[in-house]
Amino acid sequence: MHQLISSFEGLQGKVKGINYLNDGVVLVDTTPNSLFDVVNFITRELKGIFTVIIGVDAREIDGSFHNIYVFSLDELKKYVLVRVMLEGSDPKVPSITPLIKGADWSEREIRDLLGIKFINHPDPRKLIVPESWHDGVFPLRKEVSYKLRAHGPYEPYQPRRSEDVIALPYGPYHPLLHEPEYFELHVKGETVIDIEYRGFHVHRGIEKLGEARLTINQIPFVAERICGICGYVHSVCYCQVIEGAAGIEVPERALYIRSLILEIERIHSHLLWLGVACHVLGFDTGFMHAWRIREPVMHLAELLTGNRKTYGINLVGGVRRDLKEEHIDKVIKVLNEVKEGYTKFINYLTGVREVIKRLEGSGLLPRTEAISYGVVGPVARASALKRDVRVDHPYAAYKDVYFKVPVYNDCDNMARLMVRVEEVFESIDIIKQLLDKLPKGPILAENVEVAEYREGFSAVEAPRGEDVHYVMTGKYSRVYRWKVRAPSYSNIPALKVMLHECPLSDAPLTIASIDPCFSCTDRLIVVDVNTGKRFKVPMRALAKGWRP
Amino acid sequence: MLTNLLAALCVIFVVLLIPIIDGFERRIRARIQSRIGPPLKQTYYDLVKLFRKELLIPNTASRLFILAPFISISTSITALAIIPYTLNNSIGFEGDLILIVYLMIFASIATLLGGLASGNPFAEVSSSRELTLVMASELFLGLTIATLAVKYGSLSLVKISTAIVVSPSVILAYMALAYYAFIKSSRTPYDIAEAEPEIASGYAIEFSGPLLAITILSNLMKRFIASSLFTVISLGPLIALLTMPIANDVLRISVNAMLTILLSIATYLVLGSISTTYGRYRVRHAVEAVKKCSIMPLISLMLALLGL
Repeated sequence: MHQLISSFEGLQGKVKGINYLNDGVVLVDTTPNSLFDVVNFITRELKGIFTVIIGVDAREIDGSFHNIYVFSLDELKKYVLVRVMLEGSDPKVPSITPLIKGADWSEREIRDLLGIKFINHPDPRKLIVPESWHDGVFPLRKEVSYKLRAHGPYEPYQPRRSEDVIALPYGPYHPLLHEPEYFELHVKGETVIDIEYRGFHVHRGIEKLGEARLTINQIPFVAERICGICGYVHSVCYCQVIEGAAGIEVPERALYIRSLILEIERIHSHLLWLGVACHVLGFDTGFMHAWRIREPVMHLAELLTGNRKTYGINLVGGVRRDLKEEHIDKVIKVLNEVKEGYTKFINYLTGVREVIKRLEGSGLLPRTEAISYGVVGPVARASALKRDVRVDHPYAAYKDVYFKVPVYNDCDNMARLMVRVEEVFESIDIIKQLLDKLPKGPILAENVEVAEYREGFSAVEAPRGEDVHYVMTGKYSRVYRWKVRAPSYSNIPALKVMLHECPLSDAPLTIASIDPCFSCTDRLIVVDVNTGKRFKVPMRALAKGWRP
Repeated sequence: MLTNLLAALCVIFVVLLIPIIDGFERRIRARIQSRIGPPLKQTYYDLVKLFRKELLIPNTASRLFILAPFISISTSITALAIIPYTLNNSIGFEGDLILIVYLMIFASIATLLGGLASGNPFAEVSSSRELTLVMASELFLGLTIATLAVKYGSLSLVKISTAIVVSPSVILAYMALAYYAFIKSSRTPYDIAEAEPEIASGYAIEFSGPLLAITILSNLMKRFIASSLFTVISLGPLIALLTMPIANDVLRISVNAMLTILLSIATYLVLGSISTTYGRYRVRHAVEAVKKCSIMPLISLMLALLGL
């Protein structure tokens, strides 16, 4: 612990203060001018991988904006939060996107929502708010009401066309991914040469809602509705943040139950993904069987929590629903059956040549790019990056169980499939271990009191990767700032690398290979680069912010 | 006269039967995938519903857009009429084997043109995929037919499907025909031109209502023609041999027709269930696979030329 603090001594004068938020989270204060040096130090010396930037409108507290740069030090098992205070009247900070590609979305998001200027940011386009958004109104600033709506006409998006390049629109209602997203693939013949992404069509403003309308104990239920597949991770992550910030001691049994449900969620999510991947490959038989195997897992979730999905069993301080002893045998029996069917299915699937042929060598994401974009979860593990929040930053009951983290060096779609395939086996094993060791006792902490203006930060390994929440508590048992970073937010920008020069028939598979969750990410636009070279821009929709 | 009438009845019967056969295939596929599946008449319901729906024509479409499905279905019906289900020389003529190759290509080209005429980028990609596949697969069929022509000394479908010639080259040619039926059925792994998750059903994307119904029907017919072509040519001689003792012409022809149609359906369903165990090829892989398999008819042609 002290080793880490002493390692910052080389930056004397540039670091203003170092505190521990809790055991695994270090908060470093610095100034905008020294930001580059500190970031460089963390990424190069400490091998920190960029996670997200959190913007806080803290003018009510100390008259300034806070920008918190989060880095994950996987080897040291710590998160480093670098905080810079920005002037309240005219917030400005140098952009770190030139150093770290993954920071692009975060910076543009903060620019859209909090009005902080990022000097030298390469992309002036809007990310979250629509093009017709009110000028000078920044939704996450405290003076803006959560009821504010966008105005002005919607401008239809015009795909670009030139003679030998076809722009293929994938979305907003593309049959591949049944969610509102928009990919524009620029193809020459059958080869993808460029990609545009527009998302955030259904930004729900859930953070603003949490800050403006909900109390601390209501948010777990809203948080669970962030995602339609792996919502429980958000609920757990939020509760952990508050518990950490308020120093609440959560009963052991509750931690075990949380881990157990998280693993059940991982199994059903991975099986769902496997089915979708088969469907994308035209192998509908595999699709149907994967979902058949998934069904008993859903029943299991219903048995334990009362719901197939959106379990709603989390509260700050523990869980609401206890595990019945008589259910344990049933859980183990179902898991054994699932494992048997699943093993058969996987043996069969890996024997279908067309499927394997298409998975191998497509959608390459080299390790260096993976680090630069800060990808998470199975995508990172398939690119030879050994990162798993359950091991790197243990939470809930994961410190008590043993499991393997599958890592592959092939960096392709096959590797991403294999990582998920193996994780299902590991998850089944974890659940058995947890049930074996399940301690007795209460499931909810009795004394839950949360002080004002305390900060908390926590992460959970979702099926899609590292899910991150940050909270600053406020007055009257509300949150002052709640920040959510879903895993797909880190993974989608990396698609630009994976899709470059890939055959069109592999594009949908590659997009699906990161298991994107658009409802979690739900914000707008990416990807530029190279465009000036090959196309006659400007597009109408991008006209407002286009640069030559 | 009566035999001609029977042949015509056969065509009508098959056209009406095709949606039911598709219903069977859907049921079988569902069972393999551990589902229950739709009712047998589902394809009828679909078609009837589509015929009743509004016809929408995109602004970008040219006149060919409306014409293409009709060209496609009329060529398919013509091809269906030429296939001698009755194993009797009624509408056939010397050289109709060549005609059937032309008609098969033409039906493919028609769907391709319909896609291009819609002006939709997905349809454009789909059309280029279909074209690459057509070029590879028709060469395949051409080689096979050349083998048959050499061995039987005729280009008449009826003659080929009633005369018995047993030799290595002919057996290879039969296998090649079966494979051609598989490629032509545009099921997985050869459904690259439709590829719903990749290019959103491709050429058919802009078709709606009656036009979509016609496109679907003509696609199903193409599938059935390809299976029938294999069945009639390879199993026709056996059937002809079996029904030889029947003295009554009309009775014999009816029995022939029944047997060939039943066996064609069986081929159709077998090919359909095989395809469920496949994923979709990449375009490059599909063409490569067809090219690799072209060895089969090529060898058979060489054998035939050597007199084997």
